[in-house]
Amino acid sequence: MIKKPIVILIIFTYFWGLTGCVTNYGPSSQYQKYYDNCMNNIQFNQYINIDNKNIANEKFDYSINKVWNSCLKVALQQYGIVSIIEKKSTKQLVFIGGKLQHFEKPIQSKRMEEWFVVNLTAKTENTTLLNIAWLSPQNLQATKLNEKKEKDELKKLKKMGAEYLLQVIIPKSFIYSVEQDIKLKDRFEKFKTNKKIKNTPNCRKDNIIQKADNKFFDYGNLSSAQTRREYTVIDSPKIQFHLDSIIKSLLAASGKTDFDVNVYIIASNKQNSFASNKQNSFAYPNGDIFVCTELINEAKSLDELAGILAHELSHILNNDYSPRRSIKRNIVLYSLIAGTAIMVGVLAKNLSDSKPDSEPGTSEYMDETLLSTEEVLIAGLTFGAAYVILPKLSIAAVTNIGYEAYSSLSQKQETRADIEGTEYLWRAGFNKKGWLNLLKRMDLLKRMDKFKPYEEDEDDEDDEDDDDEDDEEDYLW
Amino acid sequence: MIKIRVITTTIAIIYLLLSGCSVYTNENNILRRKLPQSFVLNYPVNSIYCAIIEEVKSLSDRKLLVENKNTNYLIISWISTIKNRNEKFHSSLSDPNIIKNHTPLSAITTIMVEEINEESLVSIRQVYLPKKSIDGISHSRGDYEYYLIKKIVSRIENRIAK
Repeated sequence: MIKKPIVILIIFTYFWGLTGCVTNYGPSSQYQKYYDNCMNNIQFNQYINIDNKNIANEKFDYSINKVWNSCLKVALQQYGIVSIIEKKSTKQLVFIGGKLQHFEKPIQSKRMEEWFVVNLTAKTENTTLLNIAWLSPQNLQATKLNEKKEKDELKKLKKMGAEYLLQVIIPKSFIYSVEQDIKLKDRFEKFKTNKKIKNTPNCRKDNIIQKADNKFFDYGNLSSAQTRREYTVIDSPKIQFHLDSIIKSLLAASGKTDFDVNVYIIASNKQNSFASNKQNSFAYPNGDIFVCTELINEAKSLDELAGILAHELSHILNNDYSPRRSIKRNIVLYSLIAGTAIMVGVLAKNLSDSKPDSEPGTSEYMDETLLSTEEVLIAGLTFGAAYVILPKLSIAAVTNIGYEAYSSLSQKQETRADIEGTEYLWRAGFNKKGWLNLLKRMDLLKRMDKFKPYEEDEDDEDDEDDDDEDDEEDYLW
Repeated sequence: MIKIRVITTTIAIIYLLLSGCSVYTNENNILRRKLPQSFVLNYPVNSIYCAIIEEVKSLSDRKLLVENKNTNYLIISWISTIKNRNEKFHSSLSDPNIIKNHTPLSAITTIMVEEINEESLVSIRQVYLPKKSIDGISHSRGDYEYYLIKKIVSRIENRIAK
């Protein structure tokens, strides 16, 4: 008799363990003792000496004020600026940097943070040296990572995967973001005036543009905010002006001028990107488009930039970026449901097989139909497990909404975006082949095997700038 | 005949499954409107500076970390203890285990205000620092930014009214 309940319990525990439903809280921060006391035991008004303890450095051919301004803009987008000290020829700031880290089980994502000090030194009027050092949680002093006294701490960090974070990702990403923030503001640019938008009918055959429904918009808003917290957004007014103008033209060409689209430039390239598989540009259902600095730097004309934006706009207008639960979370939830269903089924079968022998209304009948000890135990365990597991699972699912939750685009969707994007480009007066040139240079043409660009017998009046990739005037900088 | 115990157990499990699923689609945690990268306020930097300082002083358990004022910009940051845990700024704030075992919850807020023509560009970042959480350290999702902007504007307008 007791074997069946035990079997049921084992099945349930198997599913429970398999799905990793047991929620693990992340480790405490190494700097938690400072946070708990609202940093009352820290005095920041002293200049922190880095000397030879920097883990990254860079020389900028700009004035210290220019570099400092960019450092502030980038540090603002980290986890917090903790200290600022400004002197005549040196400036220092302490910021908290972080990155999404994975601990233990793959579905548990935790954030880690580390403290860094950034020192700027003006070497000449137009040369500035930037040094970054790590602040040890023990004493908040600049610490070189290979010092022997930090051995135990390094072991702990290595176990948590933090060493790579400290030495590579955060400092490199910071310096790259500062560099891009300065350069994209500073670039001399020329641009061609866009041709007059043609008065053509809406290019979509069915004349219906799908707008993401409210739920997807909400997810888009959340994901966009999350992306802009994870990446550094570069504020470059001149480039932004071009991007906004291009989007306006493309929206007019698509026939959807009231669609609210925002374009953000994020500091990311292959070497410094947090996610190695992140695309160079992507969009969310709420209409926010993200373009990486790698693409901006590679583009040689407005036509090439317009191609990227037209492609992403097509995804938005077709509602291609529809969020859904990731496959991982689906497995978790479906396994839980399946395990519970199996257990209920086995329990029900067991109970239905055991028909009471007594007459209804007798005390023996009541004894036989009431729950036995084993059945109470199983039901209680099920109840308790579901009560404990499901809220945690749901909370974890909600808080981890991000780009992982979005379905990846199919080849069909990508091809459709290529085709429609090209049509928007043509109607808005951009060179429809400029984009292909960009992709070719970036060696991204492999996915375009099924895409046939418009043939040469299209309106010739639009092809006068086919050779413009060699034309100096079309270069942005 | 299906027995009562099977029915009650099944109903209880289905109810729990559905209640768990509904938490997943709980819209309290979803941003209802777009969060801009920065807010544009039609007030000078000095007015905004005073309003922010007033707001920080009104918080208990807080420490001002950075107060850096320059010609064209201002940076202020502080660390404070989160008191109102009912607001769904971050799921950790409402997790009962975190509330029970790992108080207090701190947050660092950094604000940069830049002068642009006769307006001000306000960039706000708030990061939560729970002792332990299922999601670790995390940024505010936008609810706090809108809340703070409203507070700043309200303080400035009160000051003007006086």
